[in-house]
Amino acid sequence: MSTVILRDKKASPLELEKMSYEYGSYIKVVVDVEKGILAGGGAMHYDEEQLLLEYGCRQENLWGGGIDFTTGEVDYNSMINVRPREGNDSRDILSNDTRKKFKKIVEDLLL
Amino acid sequence: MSKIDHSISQTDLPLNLQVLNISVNLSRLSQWVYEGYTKKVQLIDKFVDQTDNYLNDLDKQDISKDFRPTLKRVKKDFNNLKRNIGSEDKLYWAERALTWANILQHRAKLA
Repeated sequence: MSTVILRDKKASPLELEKMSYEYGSYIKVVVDVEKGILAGGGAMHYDEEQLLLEYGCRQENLWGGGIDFTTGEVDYNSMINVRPREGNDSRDILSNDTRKKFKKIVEDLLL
Repeated sequence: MSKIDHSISQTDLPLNLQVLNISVNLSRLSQWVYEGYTKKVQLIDKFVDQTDNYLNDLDKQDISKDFRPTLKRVKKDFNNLKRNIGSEDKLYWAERALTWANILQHRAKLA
């Protein structure tokens, strides 16, 4: 399994290499925007989400997206983001506040 | 001068737009397959064929060396997706297609 869970500490080169297994220089991530925990490198956001739920995270705080190291861009797009009951009826993270938190955690832990 | 039918080929468009169109197709296919292949067989098959043509056309053009590894990878994965389109693991199929849609959106500018 190529998924790595990160908290508090930036990913090591070895962890980045492991996370790059599925898609090369693009890493899919799921982030707990309240606890600042990131699961990354898996083939599916769904599996990363399940890992973080088992880790003790709450689903309403988990959001999916990715980071492309080739272009330096972060995206906020994932099937796990479709949560109409929470006001997010899109695969994109719609809340600007959540997007900012997501981006900051991704950049702090992976860049 | 005869017009190109963009439902078949898009080689008259700038390379970055060709890549973005492929990205959009993959995003659509992701959603439709997730909703159930049998519900939209004709539409899905049409867009799979179109995407396949678009990718093969792209491969014959003068794309940048920065983008070529991405094209090679997406073509390989798309060939696998085509073979498994009716599989029961539609979530895996949909996530995979959506991931490539996101990657291509990031990297279209490199083409």
